[in-house]
Amino acid sequence: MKYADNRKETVKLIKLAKNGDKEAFSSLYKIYFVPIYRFIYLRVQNKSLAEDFTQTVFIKVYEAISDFRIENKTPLNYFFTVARNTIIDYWRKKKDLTLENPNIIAKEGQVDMAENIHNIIQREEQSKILQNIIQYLTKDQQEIIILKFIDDLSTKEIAEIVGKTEEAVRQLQSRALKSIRSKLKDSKIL
Amino acid sequence: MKIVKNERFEDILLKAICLKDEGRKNQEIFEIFPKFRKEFKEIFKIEDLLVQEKNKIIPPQYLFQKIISQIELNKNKTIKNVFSGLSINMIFHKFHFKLVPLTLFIIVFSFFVFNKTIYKTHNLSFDVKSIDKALASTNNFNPKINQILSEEEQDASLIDADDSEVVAFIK
Repeated sequence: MKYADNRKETVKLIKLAKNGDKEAFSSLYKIYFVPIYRFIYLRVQNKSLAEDFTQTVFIKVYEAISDFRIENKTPLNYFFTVARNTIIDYWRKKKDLTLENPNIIAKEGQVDMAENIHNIIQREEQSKILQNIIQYLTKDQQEIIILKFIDDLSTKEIAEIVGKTEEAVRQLQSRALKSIRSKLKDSKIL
Repeated sequence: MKIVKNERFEDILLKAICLKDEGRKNQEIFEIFPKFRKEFKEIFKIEDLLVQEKNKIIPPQYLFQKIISQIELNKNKTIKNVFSGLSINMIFHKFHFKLVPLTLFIIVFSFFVFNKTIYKTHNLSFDVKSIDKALASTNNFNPKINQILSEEEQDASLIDADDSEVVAFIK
């Protein structure tokens, strides 16, 4: 358990924040700011969007903090749920836009992953390749991999955030790792 | 851990994830599943790469400050809504009120928005018995607030709203 170690402290901070304690807000933000930013960045793969969305998440949390019920959710779960919903909203809007414009679909459909990865190998570092591979995982798999390895959450914490069983989370993790392995092998990195 | 002969690697991988969740180390996984040593070596390398990736994704320092500022601004917008219908063109929000018990002094940190410009101020520590006096002292301490008050011919009143004490200047 990682964040669970701080659970008592974060619950206390949430209670204070609900009463308008600014220092408690600041402390909460300090705890969740970097993990939320990393989570968003890896999912949207765009620095500017990641900054905007991170800001949106914290403002949303701030505005809704008085409605937060500790008995229903942990603070960790609360912040990540808002982050997930913010990204889902973005994708939904992006999808609508894509469906309205068939040219975009055609362009996206033409992406040849092997070729794409091969090009990137030549000009980008290993981390870029890995980030690119993460993009080719399913949305569910992406989420699990980022929460597990980038944000260092336990399976139990991830299960609470994504609303799945721990077993389902492990299944997704297993498939994602297998998929990354296969793509890294294709790219001759493994 | 029971290992069935010819079990697929993906089933083995799932078992290994369970074991790691229980706290088993990579070395133990190698020992439990020696047949899949090569595959696990690759999987663990991927896990290492992902963990290393974490340290490369660092949010810019200005973003945190930007968010905090935005929240302060939104707080004032929220407060402003409480007074909708009144002709209010500035809000003086006392956002931090600190009692220093040992000295019986009060320090008021204040946040002031006027024409979309944010001013921050605080009073000096002083012996005081009421919030009103502390606020008055804060006002006196900040010449900008006094100047605006006098130029705009506004009255100040202390209003309790949204769990915060707010001074609204009403024309």
